[in-house]
Amino acid sequence: MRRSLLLWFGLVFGTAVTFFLISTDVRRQREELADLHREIYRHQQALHVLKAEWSYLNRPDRLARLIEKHLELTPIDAHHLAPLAAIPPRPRPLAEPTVGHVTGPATTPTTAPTTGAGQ
Amino acid sequence: MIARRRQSVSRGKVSLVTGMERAAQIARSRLLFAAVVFAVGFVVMAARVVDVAILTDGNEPRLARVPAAAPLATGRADIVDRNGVLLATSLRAASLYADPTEIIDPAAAAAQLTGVLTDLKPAHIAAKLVQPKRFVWIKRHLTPAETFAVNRLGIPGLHFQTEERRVYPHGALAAHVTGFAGVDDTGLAGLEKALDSRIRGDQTPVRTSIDVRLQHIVRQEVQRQIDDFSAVGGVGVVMAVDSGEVHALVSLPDFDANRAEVTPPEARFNRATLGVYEMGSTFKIFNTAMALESGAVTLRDGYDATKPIRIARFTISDYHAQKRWLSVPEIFMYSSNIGSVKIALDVGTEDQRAFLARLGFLDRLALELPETGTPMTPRPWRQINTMTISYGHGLSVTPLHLAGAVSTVVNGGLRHAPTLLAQDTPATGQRVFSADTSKAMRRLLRLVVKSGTGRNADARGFLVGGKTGTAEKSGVGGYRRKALLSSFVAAFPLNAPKFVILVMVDEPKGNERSHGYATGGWVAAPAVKRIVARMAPLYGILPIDENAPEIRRDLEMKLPTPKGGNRLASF
Repeated sequence: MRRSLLLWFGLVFGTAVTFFLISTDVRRQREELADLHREIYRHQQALHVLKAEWSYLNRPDRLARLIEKHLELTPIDAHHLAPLAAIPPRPRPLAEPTVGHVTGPATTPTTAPTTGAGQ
Repeated sequence: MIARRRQSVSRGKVSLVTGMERAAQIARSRLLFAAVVFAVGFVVMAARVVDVAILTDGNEPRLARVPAAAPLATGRADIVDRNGVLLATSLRAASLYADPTEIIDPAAAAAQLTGVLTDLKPAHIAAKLVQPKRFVWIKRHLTPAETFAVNRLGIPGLHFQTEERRVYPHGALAAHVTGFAGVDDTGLAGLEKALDSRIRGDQTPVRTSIDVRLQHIVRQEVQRQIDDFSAVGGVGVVMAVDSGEVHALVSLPDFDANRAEVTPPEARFNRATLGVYEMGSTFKIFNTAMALESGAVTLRDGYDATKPIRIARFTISDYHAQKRWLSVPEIFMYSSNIGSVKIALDVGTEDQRAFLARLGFLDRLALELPETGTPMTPRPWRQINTMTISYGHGLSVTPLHLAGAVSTVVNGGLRHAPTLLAQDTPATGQRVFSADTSKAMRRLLRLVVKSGTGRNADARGFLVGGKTGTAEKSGVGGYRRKALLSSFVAAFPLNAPKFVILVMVDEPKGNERSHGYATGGWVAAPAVKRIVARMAPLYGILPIDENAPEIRRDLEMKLPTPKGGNRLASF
């Protein structure tokens, strides 16, 4: 009888402590959440300002000035552009003589020079 | 109870033992009753606990829900360009106000304040600080550095209030489009005014059809022409022909939208949408198109342009006089006024008016801006008006009217109302011209650039076609010969037009490089050429071989020779 009473008291006490811990934990987490919300808001505000600043720093005339000063780039014009189809096909690689099988100059491809016509 | 006790007491005299037993019995039965009641109660509660904790599931979510962080709300929605670049936003800024009753020494406070806020006048502030009020604004929208400096003074009676301030990161670049909002956050001009309730009510950004990159290019090129030819102003418009979206809208001089309230009103005048002008020869585009559409003439017809036309007290003559029979394409190519007048007379006054109405030239410009101009139309519309309108005099319209109508001519004949807001759905237009007329007009426009008055606009590989316009501005008592309005309106690439470009320069003076000329072909056409060459890479428009057979078939035309006659020696 006494033992079971002790057990019950123990249970009651244990439950009370657990509940207390949970409730303080909930309160702490709530505060943390509120802090996070405030922080999110602050970040949103900072982001908002940064966005405005980003747009300000990306003014086209400023970028053009900076590029002129620091880079060796010129504006793209029509001659820099070509459709993919206009690129000539990759030239066939020249057949190279296989190593260790030297049979003389006959294996190297003899490409006829085409320079004569223009001169 | 009292009654019972009396009873038991009276019985107690008879038998004391029996009385006590009875009392114990009663007590026991009451205890039992109470125990049963409580037991039932506990069982019910226990059952309920089990029910709530284990059996019932739907009422309580497994995860607690908390409201998400409040989104950042500003008083006015952002305005962005078509690619999302920020054009206008609201930032928080501190505003300084004073409670004069708390100020101990107004003169000293004013002196200290104007020491850090150098744009304020000490006498002015001192006067404010002695007013018998409890609230006076000292300065609105301070920078963070200014706020810090004022705080460091530590003057009692000065307070800050956080307010929102409208900021335009691109300053003047799109100022005529966005307009500006006043210090109290109300839109005072441009989209800010036109869409004020939308911008206040909805947090989602307003996406305009403007492209900041293109806007910059157009502004730079128009400004360059203004500088080169000592002009007083200029206009540049780029419009997508298939949707009516305005990708660039420049009116110079312009103003910094962040300091709009201190800029001169001339700079705030939007020439592109509010100003109405007699556009000159660019109107020959519509004159020719309506003649072809109505069947009054064909491309093989021609007119005698040897002698100027005299009507009433006017003489209509040609600027680039050829003094011979001219075919319809030649009339267009050499911009012959005489020929255009004769074409217009064949079209007739009623048809001319109807076509111009369908192109939107007779109504106030429909655009999402408060600054829109109403055309000045002749009333009544006499034959002399028909004649002058054929070459662009006697009817004043805004430059955007013109750009919109040229889009209609080149895009296959469909009219789309110009818009400053990005369109997500493809536009359905109203048919004004047939596809054949549009195609013929594209050939004619190409002809002008290839071998007519617009050769300076020929950006190689991009098939530019267009028409020059040089109008004398009307002043007091007639036209002023030296005050010109030189323009060039173009479309490209003409095999499948995507954009219409209009450049107009106000009162250019000829210079050495233009051999003293200040006409549209010399002043505006070169700017169009450079705009085309610079914008094409941005939009992925590749140069094409202008001599490819299909391009030549579509865009080239043979000039007809006079019927029965031979080409005269004057050619």
